[in-house]
Amino acid sequence: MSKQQQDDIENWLSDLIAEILEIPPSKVDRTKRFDRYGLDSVAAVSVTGMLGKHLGRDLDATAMYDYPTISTLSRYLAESMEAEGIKAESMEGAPQ
Amino acid sequence: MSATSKPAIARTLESPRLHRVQQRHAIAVVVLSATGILLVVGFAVAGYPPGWAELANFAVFFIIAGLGISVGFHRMFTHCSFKAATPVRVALAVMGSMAMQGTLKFWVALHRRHHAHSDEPGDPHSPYVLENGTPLHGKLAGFWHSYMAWSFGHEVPNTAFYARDLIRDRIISRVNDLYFVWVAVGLAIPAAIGAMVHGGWIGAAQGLAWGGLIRIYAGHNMIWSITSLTHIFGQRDFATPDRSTNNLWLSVFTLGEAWHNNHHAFPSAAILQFRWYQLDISGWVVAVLEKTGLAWNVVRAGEYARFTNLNSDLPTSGARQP
Repeated sequence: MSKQQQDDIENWLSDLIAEILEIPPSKVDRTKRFDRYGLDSVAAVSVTGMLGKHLGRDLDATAMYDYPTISTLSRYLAESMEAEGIKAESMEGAPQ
Repeated sequence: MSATSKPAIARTLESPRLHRVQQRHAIAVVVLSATGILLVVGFAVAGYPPGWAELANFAVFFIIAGLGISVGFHRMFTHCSFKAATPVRVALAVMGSMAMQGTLKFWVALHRRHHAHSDEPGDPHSPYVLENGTPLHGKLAGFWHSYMAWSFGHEVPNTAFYARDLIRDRIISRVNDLYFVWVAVGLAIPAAIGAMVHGGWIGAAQGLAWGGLIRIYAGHNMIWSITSLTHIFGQRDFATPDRSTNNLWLSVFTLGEAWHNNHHAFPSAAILQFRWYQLDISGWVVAVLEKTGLAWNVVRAGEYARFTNLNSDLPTSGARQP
């Protein structure tokens, strides 16, 4: 479940980085650090803002520094969203 | 996976954090400028008026940082008006960063935004309209906004939209990210020169004040003159859609950038000297770089610009690209 989520986020991010760099998405290395892609702090805010909107959650720009590649950031987001999902489900199911 | 599922990349960013960063930077410029003025006045009162060494220190670093901004940040990086060898690109990026007018990518993004919306809503520094579209009616209000007030509250231009070519440039990105190092170097070198000339802390402080702080202040006044005065006073040789003007009296101090109407008519021209009296120091530097083989593909406005009559229509082809 989480793997599927992670792949979706990875693909979405790769497409976005490819658009900014004006290169084909297949040329985007998902294990390369964001700063190595030349993304400055403003571009990083732009990317995390768009990603947060896409996922429907608040995403701090510092996430790209804590998880500095497409692959690590996607895994972190997929895992934390799954954890939140489980928590939300168990809260719903909890007796009043 | 399809690109259509994605929202478009925004031109400006709604980010309180980045707004704060920009504001702090603008305040730092004011504080450093004021410190420089206080130091200089203080030294003069205490019996250390500026000598030739101080004035030379100022002039040399004003020209170094000014050419970095004009030849580098503006004509090469923003408008791609010529190509240059990597060492030249790096040197110009470092020199321009020393002016403390923001990182290269920020500067380029902001100036491309100015060209996309000149004197219309969206222009970060027009004397006629605020960036959000509110018209500026008063002459003084328009001047003040376009001179320096704009630098405290403009929108954050998105480098991922406006400066993608620089994001793709590995080496220039590294130079960009070391911005504060270059600002510090631009303060430390003149201070060291002052210390060598006069010896001791007083010499260092005088060097810092003249070659560093006052020089940064003068460089900002140079750029603020262009954002304001060259959209208010002066001659309009070309009937551009904006209100840009040419100003002979500002041309030396701005290293040629005051031929701003020429520039808006031919944004990708590397040399703004269309007539013999239109002194363009930055253009001369580009020409020298070209002669020595360090620059090539230098875009010129062509014969049209030289022989055209005043207030002529714009050419529909040729050098007029954004």
